[in-house]
Amino acid sequence: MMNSQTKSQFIAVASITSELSAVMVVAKEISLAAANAKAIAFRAGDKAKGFQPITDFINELAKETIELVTKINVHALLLYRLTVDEFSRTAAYNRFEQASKLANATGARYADSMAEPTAHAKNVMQDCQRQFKRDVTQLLGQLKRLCTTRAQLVSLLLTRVLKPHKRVNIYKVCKPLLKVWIKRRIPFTTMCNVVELHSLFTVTVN
Amino acid sequence: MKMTKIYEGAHQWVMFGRDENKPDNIIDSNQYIVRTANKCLLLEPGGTELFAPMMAAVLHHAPVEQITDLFASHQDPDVISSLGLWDQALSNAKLHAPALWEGYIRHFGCESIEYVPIPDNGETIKLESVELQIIPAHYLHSPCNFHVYDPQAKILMTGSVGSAWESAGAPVFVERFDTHVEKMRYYHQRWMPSNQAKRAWIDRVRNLDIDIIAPQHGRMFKGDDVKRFLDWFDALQVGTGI
Repeated sequence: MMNSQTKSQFIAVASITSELSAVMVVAKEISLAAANAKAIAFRAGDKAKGFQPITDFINELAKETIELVTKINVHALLLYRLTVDEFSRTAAYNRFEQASKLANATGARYADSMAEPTAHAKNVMQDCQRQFKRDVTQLLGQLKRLCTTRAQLVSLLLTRVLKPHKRVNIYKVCKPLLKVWIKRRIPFTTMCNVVELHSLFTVTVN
Repeated sequence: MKMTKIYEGAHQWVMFGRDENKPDNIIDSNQYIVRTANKCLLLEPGGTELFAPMMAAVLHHAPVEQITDLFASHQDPDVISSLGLWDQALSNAKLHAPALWEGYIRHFGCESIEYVPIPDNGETIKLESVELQIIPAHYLHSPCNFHVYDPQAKILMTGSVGSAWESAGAPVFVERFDTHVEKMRYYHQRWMPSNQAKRAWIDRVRNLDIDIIAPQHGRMFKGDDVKRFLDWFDALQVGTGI
């Protein structure tokens, strides 16, 4: 029988993988949209010349996101395997204990011989649990880094890239959104807001 | 878990089954061990649910480190789904199981146990001085299926053949063959797919000197009931599920 902690672990790992997949889709869309915007800006000629760094920047952001998500995905997969392993090790340990108790209760001649496999199973199970905790901490660190990097990049976008184009109304439109984004450290999945931001760029250039 | 010694000579055979504590919704199954001086072979180790009572029962006859061999007649979960647990308990063991099913049986977990694939025409398992013959029983009921014959003990472990659904308190040997037939009929007609395969198996085992037929479910057959069973099975039309 699967206990609630194991269920939570399975759900947590599955949720991370699912969110990462969603982020990957968004990042790829952004990358495509950035390329599209670049083409539009090119067609618009001199009046849209200032937007090229912006589209390049967004494209770079999307690429970095894709790379990070790929790395984190590998980690999440390892974590999933570890969860399966831990589940199996815990189940074995519980069954070994049950067998030992039964053997002792019925006066089995060789009941003592289960002591070693049971102790070994316990050690392996505890190792798995410790490794799971370590790996989760590491994964959360990677996710945080992803979120922080995005926030820093957006901050950079606000101060260095968009500021020179103050007369462009998109700055006003985007500023509140980006400020909230940075301030709250909204989970990385909200990176999809970049799509909205980018669509605003495209509209303005047109 | 009920334990019944069915052969005592230079080595022993013990039958395990009729577990009163098993969940009601899983089928009762018979497990067997062949015990020599320093080794122990588990035949049809059973499902996951059965692991703890089975291990506890085996510990009456052998220490864990002397459980050196396992045998699975085919791939079904009531036969071998406990493999992943034995795999973690046994440090130096082999699983003798059909070659055809290796990739499937490994799904139950087989990392430390060595999988010894049995070829289609069978083989011999050597347990110290005891030589056990692995008899092909394909399509009875699994497409790749084997039985175990011990010429010294004159026991034929027949897996699904001879099986019947019984209650937990049922005796371990058939007492009245005529009434027992009805407990076996549907199982054999529905589970066994091929009259041709059945005939080939009967021709093969009629040549063996058998005192006991030991199936994986239900009661064992001994003495004259061995021949009665073979005659009855010979006359039965199987593969009725079509």
